[in-house]
Amino acid sequence: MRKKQNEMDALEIALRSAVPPLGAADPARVAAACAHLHREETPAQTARHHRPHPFSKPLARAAACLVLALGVGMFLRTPPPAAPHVGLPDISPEVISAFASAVDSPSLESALADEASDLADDLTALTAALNEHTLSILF
Amino acid sequence: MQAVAAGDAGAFRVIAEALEPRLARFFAQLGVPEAERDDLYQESCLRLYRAAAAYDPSRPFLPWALTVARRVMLNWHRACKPTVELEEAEKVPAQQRAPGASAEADIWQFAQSCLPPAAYELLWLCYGEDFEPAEIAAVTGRTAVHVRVLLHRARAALARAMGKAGEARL
Repeated sequence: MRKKQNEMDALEIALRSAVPPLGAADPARVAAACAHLHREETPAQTARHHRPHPFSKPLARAAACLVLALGVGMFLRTPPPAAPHVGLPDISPEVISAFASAVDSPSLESALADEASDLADDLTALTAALNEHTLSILF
Repeated sequence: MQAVAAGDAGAFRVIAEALEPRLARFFAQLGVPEAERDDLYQESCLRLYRAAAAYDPSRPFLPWALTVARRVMLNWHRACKPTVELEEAEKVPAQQRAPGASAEADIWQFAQSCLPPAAYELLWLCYGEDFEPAEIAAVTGRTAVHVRVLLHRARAALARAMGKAGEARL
């Protein structure tokens, strides 16, 4: 166990001691990199470009509120009137019962009986008149 | 970095000068060819410059800068296409070699040849850049405990490989 630990320690020391030393900076390479950077906009400019407009947040909030209100309005809108029902007329039960009582009343029945007897009398009179005229033609 | 964030572009030159040897060594140790290091350095500087406003001064600068440089390097690795056809890959000689008499000088090359890239990167950040596990965790996007575990495994794997190489030499 101890031998293994010693081996590891020796390995770590060997790794650390074998690290190649840092050389001096290459001025040409640094100059090339810096010249390359001059064409870029500075980080401050980049941050300024990426900074949101001061009114963008209130505008976004207002737009969100508007959308929300429209959505709520759509949900709460009253349903459209139903299509007219085609079929039997809507008659209230009171009218029906009044009509039935009128039909079943004795005054209406006697009036109809009188009318029927009048019609029968008229028919008899008509027949008699026809007979008289017919005989007058023959004789 | 605060001066750079405030708009002082000249202040970045000091940072670029201080970073150049560090990044050159970092890229070299992680297998970036000499021809590509210039581009990666410039790209890293550009990203650091753009992100100057996002830098938190309460945190150490070097791990942050190396995090940016490492991402630039990973992007470059992803963009690279293999230059050796699969049929010819078997003809490429293995780069692994046992540390000989100058074992100390060769130990990083030996580690690079026998360890997976991720393990080698952790070893380099720990012993080459002298970062704490928490800083390595921030650079590599892992937890500190995970970094400790991976470092332990990498050390053990390197010790085993060196032991095998020593036995083979004998």
